[in-house]
Amino acid sequence: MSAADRNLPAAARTSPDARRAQRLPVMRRGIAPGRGAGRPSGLEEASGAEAEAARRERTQVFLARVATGIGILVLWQVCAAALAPGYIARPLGVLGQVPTVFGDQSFWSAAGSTVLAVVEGLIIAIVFGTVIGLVMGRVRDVDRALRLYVDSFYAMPLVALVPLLTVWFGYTPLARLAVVVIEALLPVIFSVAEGGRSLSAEFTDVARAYRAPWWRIWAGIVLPASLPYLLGGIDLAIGRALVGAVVAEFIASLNGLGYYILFNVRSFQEDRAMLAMVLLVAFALAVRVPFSMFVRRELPWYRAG
Amino acid sequence: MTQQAGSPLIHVDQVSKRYGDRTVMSGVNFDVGPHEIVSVVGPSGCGKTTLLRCVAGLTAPSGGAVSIAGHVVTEPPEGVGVVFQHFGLFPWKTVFGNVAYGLTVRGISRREAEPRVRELIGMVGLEGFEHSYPHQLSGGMQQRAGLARALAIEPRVLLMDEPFASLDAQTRDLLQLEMLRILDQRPAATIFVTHSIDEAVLMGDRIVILTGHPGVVHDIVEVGIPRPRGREAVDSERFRVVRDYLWTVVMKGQGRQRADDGSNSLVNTHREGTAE
Amino acid sequence: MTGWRARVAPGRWRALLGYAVGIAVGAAAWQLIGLHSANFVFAPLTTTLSSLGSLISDGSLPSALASSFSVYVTGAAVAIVAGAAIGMLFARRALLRKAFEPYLVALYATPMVALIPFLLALIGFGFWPKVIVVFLFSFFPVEFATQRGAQSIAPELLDVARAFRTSENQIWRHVVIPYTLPYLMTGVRQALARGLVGMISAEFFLSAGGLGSLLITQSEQFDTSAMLAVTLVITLVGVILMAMGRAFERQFARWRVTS
Repeated sequence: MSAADRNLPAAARTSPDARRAQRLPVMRRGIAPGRGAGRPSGLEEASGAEAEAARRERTQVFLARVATGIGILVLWQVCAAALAPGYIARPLGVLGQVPTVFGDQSFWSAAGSTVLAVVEGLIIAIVFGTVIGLVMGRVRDVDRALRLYVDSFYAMPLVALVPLLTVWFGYTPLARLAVVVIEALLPVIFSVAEGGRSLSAEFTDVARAYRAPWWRIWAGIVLPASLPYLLGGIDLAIGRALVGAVVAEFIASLNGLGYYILFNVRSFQEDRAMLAMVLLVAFALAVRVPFSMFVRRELPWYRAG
Repeated sequence: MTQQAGSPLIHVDQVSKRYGDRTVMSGVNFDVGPHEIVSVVGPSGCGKTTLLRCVAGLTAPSGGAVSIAGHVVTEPPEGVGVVFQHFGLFPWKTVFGNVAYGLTVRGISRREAEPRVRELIGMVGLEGFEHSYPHQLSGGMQQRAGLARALAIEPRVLLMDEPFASLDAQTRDLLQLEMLRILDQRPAATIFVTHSIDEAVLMGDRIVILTGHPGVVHDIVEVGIPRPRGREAVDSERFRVVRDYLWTVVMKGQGRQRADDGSNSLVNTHREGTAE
Repeated sequence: MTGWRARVAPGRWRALLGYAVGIAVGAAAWQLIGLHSANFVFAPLTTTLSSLGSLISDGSLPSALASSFSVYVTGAAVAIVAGAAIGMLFARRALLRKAFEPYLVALYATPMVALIPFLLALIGFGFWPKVIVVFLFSFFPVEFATQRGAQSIAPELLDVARAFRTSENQIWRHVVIPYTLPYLMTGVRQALARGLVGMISAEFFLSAGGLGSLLITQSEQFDTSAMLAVTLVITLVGVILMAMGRAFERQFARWRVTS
């Protein structure tokens, strides 16, 4: 056997006789010698061209976005100037009010008031919501007892409770805090409970097979497994908390961004109100966007409801 | 019979494909006769699937051209059926809906298409499953449906991209033989892409061997096993010889990547052309 | 145990007991707290139910329901149709989508309630302003979900469609729309919930009828038992809508095995 044959696996070896007997009529096509060997894998070369194309696309998208934004603002300004009464908010007017509003102490105290209420309420809701949700998720009896209430409150528009809450707490910041807490509490409980319920029995079986104490099961398995559900619940809670805070401020005339908007619209100072609105949106984005980006990156396998 | 007298139906002429600076394949030349099955075999990355997409009109070649029955392919042409590795059934359509798809898209109503679709569903062995959804079927059954769908349009050309690669070994063996049987009944100019050497030899009348990065045609081999073929073809001496030859060639093609490893005598002895 | 008691599995008994205890404790708490607190703070369950009865019989609840219903259905329907259409359009036209994306994200995160005063100043009270509020609340979840769905069509399936010479119109009809429908339904479920919040909020401030407006009137009169009654009705409406939303979702997800 030739040296070449020794390198072939046994199955592929043919006897020299057999090979001579079967002359294979093959059609030889041109083979470019040296091609493919000694050449770079192509990846390094490709990355240069591909990176260039990606950069170009990013610039194109950026320009498209800026153009769209400018287009929207121009359309708004033109329509408002031509068709609407003078007190209706418009981009140039809003810009004009920036020094007034941003220099106004009461504006910042209002902003702080709303932000503080939302943050406080969220923290309370997350702490209590997680505990309740975990208990519901893991203890079947508690789950069944509370299920009806959690599902009902989750399904209803909680803003409907605001008038009732103002009756109980009066037109005070406590009412707003109560609204925020309730709004944020429900999604957290709901999501964490769902997470607890869907925790695969396999995980806890392993722990119990190794006779792990209950607190180890909770800390080491249940909590980490529930984390994506908790984060999903918090994402929902943030949005709902903001809505609750604004509605409470509207109804109870509490010092805050919501009330600032209401007051200024009623005083025909819509440009100032729009500025407060922009700040509200900025706050919402500042909290939600990094949050959902974090969720999507760290927990790509989790799907939000 | 392996050679078909008459002009070739598919003509691949010096086809090459580049993505930016990276050339995937180049200088690919071969023909396929109207009732011929040509296997295209080669290691991963040598452009087999790209080649098939060029013939199917899904991708435009960077150089050269594909023509079918004398017309250059620029977009998916009429009368070309494609079978995909991933089955490609629409999950929201039933088996009937999927098999009839090529006809539906041509404007043929469900009632008109029904007899043909039912016949094909029967031919691939899926009677009783007309109203099942793909997710209710096994991989093998889904691929049968994919096959029926391609055949429903009565294609002159059949393009198959590693159709059995996602299936388990037993299903694969079964479907290979069924495919041969179906093609004996309804011949078409067929290109069968695979990375399995055994499958290439079993299915093809001729075999186009692609090797290297970029992929080039290393050789075109005449299989020389008469049709109709059954399981026993795999045990024939001719099968063995062709398969061994392919194996050596493909391994050599991969050996080229390790040119700096001088100790590999396989690379050094059977090389054609310049030494490294 | 013989007869029908034996046919119910022992585990089932425990489950039913759990639910029953929950309901019983809740009802008892309602009654007791109501009895032991001042009239304007809380009302017992029995008083609440009798308030409910009088609200129905004097017609204020039925007319409020009718008003709310018409606002809600109009706003939600327009939002769903528009959201689905725009979502699918943006999925197919990448540059258009990317150009609008940051603004849509900002609007999706905006507490729409805060826009209500502006709307009031611009177009006043009544039916259409409320419909617009419901629309604003409901549109974005539908658009987002539809867009995300239509965007996620596996390119392989589009390849298959192209290989069989499918025209653009037919791709919409046979591929994009059927594929996107389940995602659309998820968006619809979210839109139904948000739309309800919008409806109540709109009725708080842009009154002229509806359940929310009824609540405001009752709160001004410190008629707590009536407020609780209306809240109960609103909760029921919410639960029914959510059940509908989930049913739509399940119905259209029949062919989706793995998410």
